[in-house]
Amino acid sequence: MDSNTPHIITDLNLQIRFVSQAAAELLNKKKFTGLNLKELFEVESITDDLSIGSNQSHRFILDRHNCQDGYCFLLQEQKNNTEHLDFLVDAISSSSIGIWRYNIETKTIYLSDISRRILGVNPNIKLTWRKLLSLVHCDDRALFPLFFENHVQFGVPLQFEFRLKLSGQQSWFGLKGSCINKSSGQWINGTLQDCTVEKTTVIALNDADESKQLAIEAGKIGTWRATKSGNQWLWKWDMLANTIFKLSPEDIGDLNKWIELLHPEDKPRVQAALEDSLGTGVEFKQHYRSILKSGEVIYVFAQGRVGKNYKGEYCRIDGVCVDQTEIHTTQLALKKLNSELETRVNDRTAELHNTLQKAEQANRIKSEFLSMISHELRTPLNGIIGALDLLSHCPLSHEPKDLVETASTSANHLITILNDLLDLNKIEAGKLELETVKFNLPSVISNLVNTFSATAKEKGIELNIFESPADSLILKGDESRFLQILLNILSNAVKFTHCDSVPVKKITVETHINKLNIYQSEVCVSVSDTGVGMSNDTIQKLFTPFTQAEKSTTRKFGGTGLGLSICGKLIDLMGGKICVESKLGVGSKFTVTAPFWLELTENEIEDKSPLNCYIVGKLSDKNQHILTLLQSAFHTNIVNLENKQIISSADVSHNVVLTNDLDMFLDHIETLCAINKVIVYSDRSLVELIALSAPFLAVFANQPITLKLLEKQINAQQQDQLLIEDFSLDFDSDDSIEASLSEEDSPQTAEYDIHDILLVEDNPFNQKLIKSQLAKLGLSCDVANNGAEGFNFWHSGTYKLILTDCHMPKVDGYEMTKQIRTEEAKTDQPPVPIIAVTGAVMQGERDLCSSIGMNDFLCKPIRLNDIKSIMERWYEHST
Amino acid sequence: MNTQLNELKTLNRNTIIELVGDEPAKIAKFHVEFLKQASVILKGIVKSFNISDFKELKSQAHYLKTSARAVGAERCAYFLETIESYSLDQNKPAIKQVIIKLNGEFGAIKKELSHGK
Repeated sequence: MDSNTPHIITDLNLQIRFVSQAAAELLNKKKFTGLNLKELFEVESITDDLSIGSNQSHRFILDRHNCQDGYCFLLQEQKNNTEHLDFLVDAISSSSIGIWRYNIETKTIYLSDISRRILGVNPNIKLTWRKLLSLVHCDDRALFPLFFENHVQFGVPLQFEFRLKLSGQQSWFGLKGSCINKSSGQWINGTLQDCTVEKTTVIALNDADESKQLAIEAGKIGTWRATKSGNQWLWKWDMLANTIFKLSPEDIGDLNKWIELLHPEDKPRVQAALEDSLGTGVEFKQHYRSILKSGEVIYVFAQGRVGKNYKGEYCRIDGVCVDQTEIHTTQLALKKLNSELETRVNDRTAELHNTLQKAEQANRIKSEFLSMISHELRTPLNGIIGALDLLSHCPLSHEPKDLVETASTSANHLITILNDLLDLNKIEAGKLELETVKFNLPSVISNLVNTFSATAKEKGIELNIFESPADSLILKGDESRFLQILLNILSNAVKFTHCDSVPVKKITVETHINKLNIYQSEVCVSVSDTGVGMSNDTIQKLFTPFTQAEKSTTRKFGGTGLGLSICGKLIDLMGGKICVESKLGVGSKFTVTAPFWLELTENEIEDKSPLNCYIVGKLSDKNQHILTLLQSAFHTNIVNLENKQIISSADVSHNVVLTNDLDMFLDHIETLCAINKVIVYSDRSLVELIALSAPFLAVFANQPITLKLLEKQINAQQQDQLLIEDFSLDFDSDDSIEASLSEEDSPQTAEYDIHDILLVEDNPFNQKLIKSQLAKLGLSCDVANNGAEGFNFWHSGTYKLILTDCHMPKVDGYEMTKQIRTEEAKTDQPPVPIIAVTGAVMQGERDLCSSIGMNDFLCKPIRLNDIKSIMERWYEHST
Repeated sequence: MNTQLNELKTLNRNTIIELVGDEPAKIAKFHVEFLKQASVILKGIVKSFNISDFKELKSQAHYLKTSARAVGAERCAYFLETIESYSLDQNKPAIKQVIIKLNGEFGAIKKELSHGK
């Protein structure tokens, strides 16, 4: 180094040994002997290669170099101090590095503005060491004294990170510093940086790494990789992979050790796949076996992906390997089990198939037998029923008649059971085919109600029918089977409502049709009763053949339990359903729903006839229903008679009165008399009274009523004539009562050869009655059927008394009396007492009888006491 | 309200007892006799009605009325008397309704007798 270069040579203790000319000029000093470099440049120590010192208010950079037995320091004056400082300040500011200084003795702290800002400390607040520590996270506070003391005492580098909570968020800070001895004392100077982002990233990375590691360890997944160095692939795998293959730690990275373990059958395939992946970059994915050193065979699945370098060359492969021996073993066991199960299932299926075939065959034989036996039983049974029917028409006394009736009922019941059995068989055998005929719901309901209305009335059951007025669509389906279902359900309702334990006996039938589309509609008929009801358990088994609701049901109510079973199967065939709601002791509701086709041909719109509907009093629910039905079938004009409004149009031939108020009805009776062909509907309780009060009016109960019945009653009202067949009392052939009495009809009347009383009466009933009465008094009479016969009898015989009816055909009682009295006068005979017997009770009648010559008067019907008095008065005193 | 009409019975069994005494067998015989007669006369009434022979109608109603009274068929007797009355007026629509009701009454008597036997 030449003398023009300002430099100073020192020994190892920094004692100055040589100062160059240039250095002396720069320092403006000539004598340096015995001086120490530290004294010369006012530095405490020189530890770094580059130091700054000052001499005579000039600052110098000391650039230290090693030389023989000492150091050579190159001097450079820092001519422009502020320029360097500005650079330093800018660098610190732009990098957000905070500066701090801490005096160890006084424990005072100085924080730069940046430090205060990043720590969130107000620049105006005087910050103490204690206060600073209070801001630090409690877990990190101990780091400060620990690092500071260790640094001061042992020279341990002062560098650590701590947390601070700023505005509710936790931030991380990095603190660095070093101790400096100055004339003003011992200081620690350092920097402070916000490292929250770096720290959070590191923590997240550590967390992810730990998580990945734990997962890999838990899954016993080994990892492996290889990197290409030149043409050489360098292999490495982790301990887990090593453990899978039970290799020694020193085997890690030796690919041959792994290859040696490959199962001979798998080795060519796996090696080729690996080479292919390394050469072409395709994914490596292989299941293979390895034979471990212990001879154990393991099943491994390995998968790896190949990566490229910036040149696009395949340079690395990373992958995993999993020991699947346990899974493989389990799969094998499962396969075996599956195979065994399959065999057992096949065996069992074959057995079941055989059993099913046998059962089906047995069922078929049973059905055929039942069908055959039912047919066979029906033939003689029909004979029995026919014979019993003929027998029942023969005159029989009471006891045989009863026996015939019992036999006939039983035979009919038996044939019903046989029919049910045949039906059930047919359905079960799939041989029952549904018919498709046109019908309408009102006709079905009419048939249903006609079948049961009389029975219900007889059993004291109130039967109500509520038909929806829109039910008159023409349907297509099996009308008779649908009716069969409804008959069965209503029959059950009647059966289970007619019971002593049921206080209010009521059955309600409601109907409606839902038009689903132009082709189809859904018919819904519900039958609800107040009968004995059922439990839920009973409902469940209701449609099972031969099952009655309760065991006691058969005993109590009879039946085979076939009816509902058949209904259930029939409705299934129809594609409908039967819903049952019931509560023990409260009643049941059966709702039958079935789909039917609609007749597509357009119905001719019939002209509705006009009808006047007179409402007398408040309209009851049942009368309201009648009104609804009327409005659906007629052009109905409603007239409220409360307003004394009378509309009696001659061209309105249909006139209906709806009333439930007898007094108000009687108030309007004269008005109603004037109305043409009027028909009255009322609640059943008032029907008889109205019918008696206004015998000239047709009076009907408003329930049970169907649309068909209503139309029939209204149309019948239009008929001027009566059909004779409607007035057959069916008594000409009904000898049941008479026959039962024939034995008791012993001739108590005294029979005398000579009768001195003559009865002239055209009515055989009255003849018998009076004869019987006379017999009761020990008397007898001859009987003449009219006045002419009576005169002849009198003329040819000797009678002490004549009883005669007044009104008779041919010659009446008056005429006969006149003839007798004339003849008596002619022949001078004493007048025979003639007693008028007449139904007329007026005084005028009595006077007429007296004026003609009759002696006394008896009013029909003749009481026994009256005839006795007459006999005492006229017969016993007669000569 | 017309209480008298309300009290009319379909079959007042006391009436016949007053006529022939309390002899069930004999009474039953008369009941049967009455129904047999009613069966025949009712058809005659309907025939007369259909040909509007009101005189014959009245006569038949009267004929049966005495029998009905005798057996205690009070409502029947009432309807028959009403037919007699309407026959005089030749009120055919009213007679038609009464005949229908009369028919119903015979049915009721028959039923009552069947139940009471």
